[in-house]
Amino acid sequence: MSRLSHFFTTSIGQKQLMAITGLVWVLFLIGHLSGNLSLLLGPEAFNAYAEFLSSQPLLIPVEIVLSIILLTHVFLAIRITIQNRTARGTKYMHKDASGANFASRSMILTGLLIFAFMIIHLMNFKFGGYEDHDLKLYGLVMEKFTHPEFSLMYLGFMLVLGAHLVHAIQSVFQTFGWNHPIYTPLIKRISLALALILATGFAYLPLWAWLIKKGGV
Amino acid sequence: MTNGLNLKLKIWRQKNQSSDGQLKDYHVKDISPDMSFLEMLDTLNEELESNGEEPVAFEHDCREGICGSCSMVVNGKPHGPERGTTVCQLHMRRFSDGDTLVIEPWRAKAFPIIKDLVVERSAFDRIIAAGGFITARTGSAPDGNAVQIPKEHAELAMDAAACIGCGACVAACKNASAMLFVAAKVSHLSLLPQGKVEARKRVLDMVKVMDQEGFGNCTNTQACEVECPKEIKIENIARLNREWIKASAAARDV
Repeated sequence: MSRLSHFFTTSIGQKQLMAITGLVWVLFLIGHLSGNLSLLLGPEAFNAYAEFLSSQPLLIPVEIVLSIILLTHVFLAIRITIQNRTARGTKYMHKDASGANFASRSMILTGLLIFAFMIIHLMNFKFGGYEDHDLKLYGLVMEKFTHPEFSLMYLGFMLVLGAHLVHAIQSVFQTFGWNHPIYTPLIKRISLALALILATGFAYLPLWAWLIKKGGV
Repeated sequence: MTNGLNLKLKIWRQKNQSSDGQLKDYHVKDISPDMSFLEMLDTLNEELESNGEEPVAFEHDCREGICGSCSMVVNGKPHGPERGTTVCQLHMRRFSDGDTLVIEPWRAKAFPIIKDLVVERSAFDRIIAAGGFITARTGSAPDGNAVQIPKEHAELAMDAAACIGCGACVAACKNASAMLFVAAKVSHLSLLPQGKVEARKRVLDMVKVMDQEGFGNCTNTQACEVECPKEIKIENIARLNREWIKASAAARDV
């Protein structure tokens, strides 16, 4: 037990937990995007995929575990931010970013926005009453995304997600202690590519529904 | 014949640890571009003293970039705009006539301001003390080549050992984290066979004291590496993370 508290209370321990919990959610995003792309195949394929997921007996336990992991990530992020602000004490009158990019400086902001988005997202789709829809979840998704303001909100949030991931993914490797003159530049490029793929992949779906399919079937 | 610089300075003045400070405006005239930054401040102080004003307190010792005493943030950058340079080795030719320079002390809760630009950095000493000793035979000189050290390790250890403990990493970090400093100290010993014996205990103890002193958490922004006057790389922070994970997993008394 003391070993566990060690990870929750020391600075490097918290880093490890942030990295592990974040990494789980990156894997979730990869799975989520892969599945969601079935939207492009039409109502049968997408609804079948949704049906397949919701009929899994392990769905509820997995959802609970993912939620705990997410809440750990958010809780630690807030605590770390408070600790870091306290550690600075008096603010600089004039401070240069010293080369630290926007993404790395804004993790708490982008993170909290993503958390807010997740609630909005769940309310709209998972708890959006798709059972009553003619075309089930497919119909609900297409209907929601035909509203320009709804699609644009999703685009905005995907930009935020991309910014969070650009720093997050490569950061995991540094935190785990994997930094190497040859591999690290490669890791950073792959991290950037993965962040772009995830953000644009998710952003493509509302755009597709709104501008290409125009909400039609 | 003068091509000296006229500069506007905004310098943080604070009487003592408990009082509030503020930026105060000063003007210096006809500063030679060949002067170091500290010589420019010396010039200002001479003028202040001759006017019966309190000179600006700042730390300095060797003035050749190796002691780690000088410590000030110039226009938002620890040690000023020049990379890989302490502020004592920064020259005035780096600035232009008419520039406004904002000069502040390191800002971190763990580095309380004593006066003006002088901060208390003994938190670093306590981290070093927590690191303890290395087991090395003293007395007679060891046999040549008795302890074999790969060249690569010797170089990496030397790069880490270049840390002068000035605290620019803490000053640059948006979280006021001391990870680069601790990483440099842990790295330079853990890379060498002499430091391996106590490596596990050392890393756990140093990180523990680092946390106790109230430094922030590293979020991998890399600002420290950019501002380090000795160009210590964050590769060392990865090594520190590695050493800490290994030690935490293996320690029996945690």
